[in-house]
Amino acid sequence: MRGKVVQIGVLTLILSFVYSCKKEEDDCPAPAQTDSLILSFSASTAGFPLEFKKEFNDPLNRKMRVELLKYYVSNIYLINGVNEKKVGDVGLLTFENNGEPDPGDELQKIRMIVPTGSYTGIRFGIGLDETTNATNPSSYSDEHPLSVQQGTYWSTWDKYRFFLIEGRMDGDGDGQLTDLYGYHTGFDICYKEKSFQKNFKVQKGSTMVINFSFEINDVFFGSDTLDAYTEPFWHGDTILVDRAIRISDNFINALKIE
Amino acid sequence: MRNSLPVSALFLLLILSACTKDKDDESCPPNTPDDSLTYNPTPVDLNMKLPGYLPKMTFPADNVPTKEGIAFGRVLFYEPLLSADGTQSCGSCHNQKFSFTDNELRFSEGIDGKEGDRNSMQIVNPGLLKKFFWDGRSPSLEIQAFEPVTNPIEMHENWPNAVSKLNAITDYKVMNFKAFGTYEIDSFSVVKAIAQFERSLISNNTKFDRFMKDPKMFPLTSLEKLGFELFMRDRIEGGGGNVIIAGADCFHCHVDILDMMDNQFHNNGLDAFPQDSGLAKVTKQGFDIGKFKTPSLRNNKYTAPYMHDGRFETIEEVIDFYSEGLQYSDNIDPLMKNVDIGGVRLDSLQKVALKAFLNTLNDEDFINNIEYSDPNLVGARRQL
Repeated sequence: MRGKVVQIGVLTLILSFVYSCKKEEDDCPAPAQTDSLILSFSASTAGFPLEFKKEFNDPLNRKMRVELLKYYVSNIYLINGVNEKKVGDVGLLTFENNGEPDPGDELQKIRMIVPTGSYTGIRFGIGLDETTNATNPSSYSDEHPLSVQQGTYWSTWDKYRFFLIEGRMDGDGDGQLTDLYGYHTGFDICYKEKSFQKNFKVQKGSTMVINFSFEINDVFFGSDTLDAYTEPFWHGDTILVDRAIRISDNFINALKIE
Repeated sequence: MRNSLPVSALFLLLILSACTKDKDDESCPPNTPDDSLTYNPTPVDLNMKLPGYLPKMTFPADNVPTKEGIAFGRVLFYEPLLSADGTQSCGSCHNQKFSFTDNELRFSEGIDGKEGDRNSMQIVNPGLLKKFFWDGRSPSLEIQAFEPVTNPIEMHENWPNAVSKLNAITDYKVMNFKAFGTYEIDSFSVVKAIAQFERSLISNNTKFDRFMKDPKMFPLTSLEKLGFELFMRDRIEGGGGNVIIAGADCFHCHVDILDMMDNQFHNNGLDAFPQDSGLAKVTKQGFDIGKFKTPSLRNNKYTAPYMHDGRFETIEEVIDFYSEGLQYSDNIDPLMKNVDIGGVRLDSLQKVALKAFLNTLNDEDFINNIEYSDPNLVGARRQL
């Protein structure tokens, strides 16, 4: 009898050891997956990298500078021939100064984990689609791109601002940049999508970086013209909405894949 | 075995007697945990108290609010022993009756009679803030609470002294144990407790709060509604300077659904040549000169005087400033679009309407809430 008890005891011990090993294995967190795709955005002013508050000349050789640039990239799809797969919801890209330590160019990147494979292109929107634009910012955590803490919500209209650019210019031609400009787009009509063709592979264990760039002058003088010197503001209202549409069109058209 | 029984009994008695002595003797250092006390803090869901249209507060992982932490923080907030001469507490310059600002003073005076150069900021719904002080030099309430104790123009104490004085009070050691699981008070537990109390300072019953909850049941008056519309609109001019849409353009910085602030820094055009460099003192960047944190407009009736330097004594002066008094500087925020004409140019009716709306942001319950008051004055300290 005593021998049987010992045998059962040993067996129980072995079983529990084996079980604990298996359990540990199951509970073991998967190794952290690194970002497999990074969309990196950069801007230039008259051909030079955009710098906070640095003067540049517009196509009419007038001085300007940028003091804030902020925009949403959303509904990101990877394209493979006729097939598309959504890989990202929304990211907020910012170029501003708000007393933060210099984040380098991190604020101009969208990091994602996407399925491995070969792709022939990428598609995304600038701004937010109608459904997302109607969401409540208080429902998002502080760090979420759609949180009210991001400074993009437009509660006058219960909508988000999609694209914000602010700065100043030399309105009276005296060499001093003392006149202000600023555009905040954001009605549903300003949401624009664009597809970019590029063959690329996303492979396991490596990170694919796709670079996008745009020229700030093309945002004002692009497919259409929005001259900050003569139409310096649009911060959202039911009138003069054509300014918002023009700058939205210009921006999406200015975006290029590298 | 039988012979050892009396010896064991004697030993047990000795231990028991030692324990009893520890518990009763006030002079004993109470560093040994009292067996009758257990560390079992009660979590408090402060977000339940916030108006539903505001975002949720987030809390540091190592300082989640508890009933015991808030209670200890309340006592410490009003504790003058934190100052070198025992005359000044946090509550001295942050008076509840003035929405935790300094008694309508432009600048606060420290224990040595020295005056600061910035207006005491109000403490209301601070759990929604991301940066503290007018120049945002502190990233959390906990870190913020370290500074006034040692600041030579405020409490002018040092932390070892302050902590030593607190540790001499047995009640405080017990409160520290209940809140943080250790009898030994240190500077970290002090700032954590104060931060917990401050996060509990929630205002949720303004007329505007009620309107946002149910506009049909709690409507604004016609004048308040006009003020709200002005608050939320840009001023838009057509050709020849004709005003197409009148607007006070407050909403860009005072976001209604972010408790009437934006957690950002702006140069709002107070001075052509700012005397106080503001955010630039922290960032050392020239383009941050004259930028200050946007204050909440909640409880504006109680927080005079206004601006970082308390230069405006009344709300009317503030409205006049934004209407006609803006000063251009190289760092003025591009949002101040009408600086070239001095401001948003409101007429007298529009100014009255805007003031009427601002008056809907005041919460009388908040400034009278006994839970936020000095526990020494209401006998609450003895109950703790």
